[in-house]
Amino acid sequence: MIGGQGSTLALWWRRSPGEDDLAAVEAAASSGPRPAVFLQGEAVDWVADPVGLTAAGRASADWQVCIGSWRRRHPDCPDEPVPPPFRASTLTRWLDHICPAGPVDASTELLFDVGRAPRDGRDRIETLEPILAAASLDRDVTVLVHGDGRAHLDGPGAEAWDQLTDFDLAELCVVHAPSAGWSGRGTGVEPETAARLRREAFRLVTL
Amino acid sequence: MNDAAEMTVDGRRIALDSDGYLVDASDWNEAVGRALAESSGTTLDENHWWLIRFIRDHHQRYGMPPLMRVVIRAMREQTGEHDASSRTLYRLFPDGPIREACRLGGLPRPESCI
Repeated sequence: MIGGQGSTLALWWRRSPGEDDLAAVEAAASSGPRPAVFLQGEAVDWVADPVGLTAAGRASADWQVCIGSWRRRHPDCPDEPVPPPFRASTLTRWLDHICPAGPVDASTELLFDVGRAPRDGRDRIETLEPILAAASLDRDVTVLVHGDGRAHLDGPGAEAWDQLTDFDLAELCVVHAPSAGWSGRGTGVEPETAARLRREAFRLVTL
Repeated sequence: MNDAAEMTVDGRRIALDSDGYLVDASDWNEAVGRALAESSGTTLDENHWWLIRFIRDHHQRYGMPPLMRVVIRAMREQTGEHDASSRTLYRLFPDGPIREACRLGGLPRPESCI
């Protein structure tokens, strides 16, 4: 996932990077300011053995690691330091970095797009956490859940998503076919509305 | 705290992890919460207890501790602290109100970085 903040490239990785991802970082660094890369969720598995990261690649970016995802992977030693060239960071700090400083001229400031089913319990929570982090910064947050992503709203752990609506932390929209309706968590929206929300959002984050 | 430890409350031995969290959440009751607080030099007043109970209830309902903004809004609505803010909570537990309330409330150490 790639976003820009001013003239500095900001990349948010939630899966281990491939050759193309790493090459994109080096290319960005060679043609502009050193990009910031934030690793969260499964991508943090890569930090312990950063396959494909060259000496030039290590120096080419500000490599930040979500400390929550890191601790979750080191339950017996949660204070285990993040190895260089990576440094510990937090979701709130990262979201503050990629969000605009002031009010935005858009109907939705931050739209989180959730279209993928959780791989496991850890992935479930690590999909919700960025949304909660944005809400903790009092950002205007909308969540658009669709397709396989609707599995997040059902089964063990799904009750955590109720925080969004119970405490007005975010608008939770669930895309359904025009003929089907929606009776689960959140507010049902038709695909046309979903397309408009994506179009009008100031920043779209795919989780 | 660096090493795993234990404490005795009402004649029961309670195992703690290296950060002072209960090893077995079912060991918790209010006497244990009070003893944990006293061992770190804190005497719990009614606001401390409101926060601990609120966080335990939230954890039971949602499976995780609440955001600070949720606690502040609830505190304004449910207690006499109508001007409650994050400062109010940090006065209760200067080292981190949510984290410390989890520890004293017998909940797991929060993993999240939020």
